[in-house]
Amino acid sequence: MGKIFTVLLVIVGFVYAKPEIVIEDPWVRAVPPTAKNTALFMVIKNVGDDPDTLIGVKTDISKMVSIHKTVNQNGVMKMVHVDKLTIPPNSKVELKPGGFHIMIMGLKRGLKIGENVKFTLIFEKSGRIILEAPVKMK
Amino acid sequence: MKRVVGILAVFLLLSYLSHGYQFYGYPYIQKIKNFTLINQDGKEVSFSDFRGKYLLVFFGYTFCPDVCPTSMLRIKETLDYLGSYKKYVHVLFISVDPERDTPELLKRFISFYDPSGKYITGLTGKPEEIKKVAKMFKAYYEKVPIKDNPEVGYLVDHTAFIYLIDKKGILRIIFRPANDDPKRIAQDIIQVIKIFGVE
Ligand SMILES: [Cu+2]
Repeated sequence: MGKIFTVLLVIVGFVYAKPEIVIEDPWVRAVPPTAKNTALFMVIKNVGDDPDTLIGVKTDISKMVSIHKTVNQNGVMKMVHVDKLTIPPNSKVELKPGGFHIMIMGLKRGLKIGENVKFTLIFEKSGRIILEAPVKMK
Repeated sequence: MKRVVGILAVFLLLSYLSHGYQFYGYPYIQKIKNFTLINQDGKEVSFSDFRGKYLLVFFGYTFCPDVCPTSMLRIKETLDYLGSYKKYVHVLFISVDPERDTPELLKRFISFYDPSGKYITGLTGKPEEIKKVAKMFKAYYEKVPIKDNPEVGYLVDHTAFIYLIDKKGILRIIFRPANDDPKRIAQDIIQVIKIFGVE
């Protein structure tokens, strides 16, 4: 009986271990009206007990969106393309200037400070998460 | 070894002159040779035209998505922290993407960070000229094409130092991207102005 109970617990645990993604403080950087590129920043929290992975981002405001990381290589600032971004359970990944960011390339229009921009984040397990990020000068 | 002694001497000299003030940026001494580029109004301007001003020089480009907007914002905040010293300071934004950065684009770019139009000059020019200027500052840049999207074109990897030049055209302090606290940059600038004086 004890054995069966343990097995059941393991199964239940397996089924119920799941990620829970919470997006905090998303913002899009205000750039000069001439700029064709900008970036989305935020804190991605996983308050669940299973890892999840950001595999894509969509928005209408630009031709191309991708996950990037800015790295400093001997003083030269480079952008590195990142295929996916894993958020371990009970932790968070910060997307901030000079680090990870969602790169928005080929803006179709100028963005106004204070306006909200809609994005869809696509996670491997949690699926689609829609968010509105204000345009900020910071 | 000689170089290390030289750098040490620069540190000691500046800290002696400033009564032990610890600089946030990296003290340096290098005479910058004159150069001429095109400003945001399409006019030729020379480095020597700015003699008498303390200059903050930054190499970047208007399509820059992350690094330049961050640095330009820090520079804008730095200017705000300068208070009454602001009038002695001018910013040169030198494009490392002269093929795309026309004077018109530069004008709109810099006015975003300086609506008054008084404190920032944008500079572009022939690619060979820019190359020469960058070399003098040991600034490095390189075009990086973006795959799968010819419309967006390319990005430019580049060094992102902020250079502080004194009123006589001598490079005095280099701020690395990690040294981006505008309050402390402003303190360094004020310190350097106090050492070398104003016209
Ligand atoms: Cu990027």
